[in-house]
Amino acid sequence: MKNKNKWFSLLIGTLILALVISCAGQQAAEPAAEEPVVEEPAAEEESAEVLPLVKVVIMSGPEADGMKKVAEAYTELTGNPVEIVEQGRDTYLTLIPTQLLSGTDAFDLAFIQSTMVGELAQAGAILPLTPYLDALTEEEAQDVDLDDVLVPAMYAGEVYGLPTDISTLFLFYRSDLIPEPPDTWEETLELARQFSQSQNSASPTPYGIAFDGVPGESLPETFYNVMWSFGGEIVDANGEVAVDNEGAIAAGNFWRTLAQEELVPPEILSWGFGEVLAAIESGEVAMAVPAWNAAYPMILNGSSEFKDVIKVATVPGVEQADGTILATPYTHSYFFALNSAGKNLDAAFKFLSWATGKEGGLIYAKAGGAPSRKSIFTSAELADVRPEFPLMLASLEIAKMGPPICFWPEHIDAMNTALASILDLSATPEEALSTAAESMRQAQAACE
Amino acid sequence: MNNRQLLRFIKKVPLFLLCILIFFIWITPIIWLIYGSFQSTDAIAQSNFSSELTLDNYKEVFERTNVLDFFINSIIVASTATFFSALIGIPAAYSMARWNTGGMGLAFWILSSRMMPPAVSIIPFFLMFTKIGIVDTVYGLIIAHLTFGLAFMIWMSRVFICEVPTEIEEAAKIDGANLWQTLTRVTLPLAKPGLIATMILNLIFSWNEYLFAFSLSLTEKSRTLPIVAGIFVTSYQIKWGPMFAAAGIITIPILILALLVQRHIIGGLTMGAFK
Amino acid sequence: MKKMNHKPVQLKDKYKMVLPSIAVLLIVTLFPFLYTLNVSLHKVVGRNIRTEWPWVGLRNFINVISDKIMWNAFLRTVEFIAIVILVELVLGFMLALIFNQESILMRLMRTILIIPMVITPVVVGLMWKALLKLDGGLVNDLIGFLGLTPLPWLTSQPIPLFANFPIIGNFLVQHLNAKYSFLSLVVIDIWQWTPFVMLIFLSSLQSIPQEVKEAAQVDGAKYWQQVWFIIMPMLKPTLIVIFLLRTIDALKVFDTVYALYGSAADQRLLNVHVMNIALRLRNYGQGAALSILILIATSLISQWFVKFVNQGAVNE
Repeated sequence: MKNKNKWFSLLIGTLILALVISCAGQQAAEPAAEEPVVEEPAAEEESAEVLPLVKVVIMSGPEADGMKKVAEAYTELTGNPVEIVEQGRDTYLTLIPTQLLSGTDAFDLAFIQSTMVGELAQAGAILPLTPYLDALTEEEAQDVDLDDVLVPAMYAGEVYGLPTDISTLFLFYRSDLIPEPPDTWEETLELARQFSQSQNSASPTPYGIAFDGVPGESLPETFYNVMWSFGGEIVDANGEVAVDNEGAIAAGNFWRTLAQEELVPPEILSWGFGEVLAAIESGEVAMAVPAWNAAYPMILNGSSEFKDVIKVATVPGVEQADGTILATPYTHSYFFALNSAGKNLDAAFKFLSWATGKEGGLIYAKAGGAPSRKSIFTSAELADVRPEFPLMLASLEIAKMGPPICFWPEHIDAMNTALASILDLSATPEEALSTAAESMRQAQAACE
Repeated sequence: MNNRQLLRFIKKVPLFLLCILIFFIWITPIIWLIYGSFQSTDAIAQSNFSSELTLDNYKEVFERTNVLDFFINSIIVASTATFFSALIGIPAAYSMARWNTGGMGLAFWILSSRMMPPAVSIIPFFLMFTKIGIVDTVYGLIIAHLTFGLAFMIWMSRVFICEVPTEIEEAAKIDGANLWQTLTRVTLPLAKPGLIATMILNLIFSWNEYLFAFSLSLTEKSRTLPIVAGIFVTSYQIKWGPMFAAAGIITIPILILALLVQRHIIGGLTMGAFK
Repeated sequence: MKKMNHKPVQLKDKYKMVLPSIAVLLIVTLFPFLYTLNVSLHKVVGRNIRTEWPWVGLRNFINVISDKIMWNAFLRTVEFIAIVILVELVLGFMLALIFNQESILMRLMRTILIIPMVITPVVVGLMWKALLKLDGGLVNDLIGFLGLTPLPWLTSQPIPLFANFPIIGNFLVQHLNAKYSFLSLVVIDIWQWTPFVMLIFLSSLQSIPQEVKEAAQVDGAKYWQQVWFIIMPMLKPTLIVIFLLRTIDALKVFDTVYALYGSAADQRLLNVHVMNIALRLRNYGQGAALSILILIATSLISQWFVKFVNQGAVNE
């Protein structure tokens, strides 16, 4: 008798609690009671019932800073309030796909990377922009001008995002020491030897060359500038993993030589963007290659004693049999996409198209961003402020993007391990890259 | 001073030096952190502290992030989880202490739920909460915090209640008190120091909790404070200045709380350690 | 039973009192466990999270077991816990012996030493990230000040002391994590938790009756003999408890590792690996399989501990 009572009350208790929880779930569908702090300093619109607040999430750093200016200008123009919410970069790229997949309604526009588009689109977490694009007026369509856009985010034939930024890598070099930038990696190696004190004690710079060496998203992407020009591939034309092919190993050997001959600083494995920038600005290295294009405006606006002599050129390549040089800069883009669970999607799309359009793009470019539009890269208005734009366009015309593989994060992890062991000389490129290729094949099998 | 006093004094010197060493190892980093939060990012990066203090870092934290929202969320989650754990945990602990309810099985279940690494809960919680719709809310976080909070509360409270002699409770019952009166008027007041220490520890654990906050509270709707420090790892470098300021904002309330009740904490933690 | 007339009331009440807790525990442990089990048997990834979940049987488990990075993280975690607990117990015990005196200074130290325990672990991680920086980090500045070469704390460079070990040097570095990055993790955890261990030992030291110590002294035992033969056996239950507590907590370490190294594959502990699968790879099926395996492992460990502790209690 007592046992039955016990189990019965247990059951009732659990049911009651489950009921309470699901009711809490219903209530939670409405926004939390705290009032969000509107950050941008532009005039706040009190007439929120007419013009809904558009919430945008973006990663903190120059992108966020630039977008805030764009948002300010937009609100002045249209009166529609826009809130730009920053989240820390490292955690941002990890979290934004999860945020979108969870169906949170905390924001309307999300800043996403090219590698995420396929998954998010297939999951229905971001909306196709086609219906919105079709509804544009003539004038608006001219401003959006899909032909001008270098890389829209596509999935299954539909546009899912418009790009805010496009990035690629350059060769940064000291033109006072190196009058003509090298065209091939061989020439680069010679120059690196000339300007490293380990090989040439009379060198004015301690090291000849530097690049992002810290394991992370950036290290493999940096390596691909070299690897692809030697003929290596992440996946080949048949979709097979190919980072252990001849070309990739040759590229690995190039980096190994740099480390072995001490042409790069020994702490290169802990050098990220900031450290590389500081090194070329202080004269610690004569060249930084491959290095992200975003460093150039920072040098120009910085206070380095060499800022007038630091120049940029396309990354070097490998001479082909027919005498041409194959250079393969890496590129990726960032997009704005519509959160399918967002609240004010029409207003959000209007901001999206304007911010990534020609007008908004111009403001963003002036603030330091690199919008993905031919017209902006060739714009006369920006020639003074952003002198590297013509080079951007030239690099982007020969640039390569990462393939849309389903095992992107696993492959980044595998390549990081391989490249770190190549740079700290604990493994030969053959060993390191074949291990990486194995892990990548496993990951590929698991996700396909 | 005679020889014996001199000898005793000399014996104390190495001890004193040891204390200084310990202070140096354990407290200086924290002082450095707090002092550094008033320095510029470059000063920290080059370890070059100047004597001028600046509030810029704190200003940047307040301007760039919704720190206040996070603060409020932290308070809501920590206090609700602790309160709720105490509300249902203390009676359970009493029942287990006095009558060994559930015996070994229940005790083991509680222990193992405390042993469970939170990482194994994030996937089910994420998927379940997404289906129900509470994934990015304080409610979800509170439930997640109950995984460790409730077990901790029950386990510790059981110890303190065991310390209360049963004779006093018997005496109350003879005087006509029923169960609930005994509990609230007699047992709880006697076990109060330990129970309060446990609640405060629970509060601190919830406040400091990072993994669930990271995985389950995805946007500033429900984000708690520890996440704010990560915001200053930007695309290109770590902005040490505001990060230190954020660290300060996260830590200082806890430090104040802990120091105010430190007597209880030591007592509570160590008494609990013996069962 | 003593109070016969209260018995029925007592019995019903005692179940009422535990009921809400049991219900909540069911919701936060049993229910998620069953849900996780279900997920682990299907293919659930970001792409199909809102649509169909195809059944894949044990495939997720097989993927997990054949994941080399997972085993590396597991080994690293076990090694981490072993080293950290050993050092903390020894160091904490020694410090407790030294601090076992009454004075204002001692009380001040005891108060101050609570602080490392209560600071947010994420803040500890970030603070040490700044302190251990290669150039500009306070620790290396100090080392330089003392005339020694700065150490590459946060990098995965091998520790010369171990790397140069004859024969097994390479093995130590490659498979047993004899790198600076691991060392940093160990040092930070020791920094954070030794005070805790010390405080617990201290209070159980103080509960050793004076008479026992005095009797030993009268018998002519020297200090070290006292410690070894008298104090340590009396502290055995405390030792067991601290061991238990620290193991539980060390198994949960996530914040500091993530703050220092993010999800870098070579520095992961097990919890970071789970988070990586859940958030970066978004392969919920695989993450669920891993979670189930971890749960089984920790259940077995808990069972073993409970038996061990009970035995210890019985023997007292």
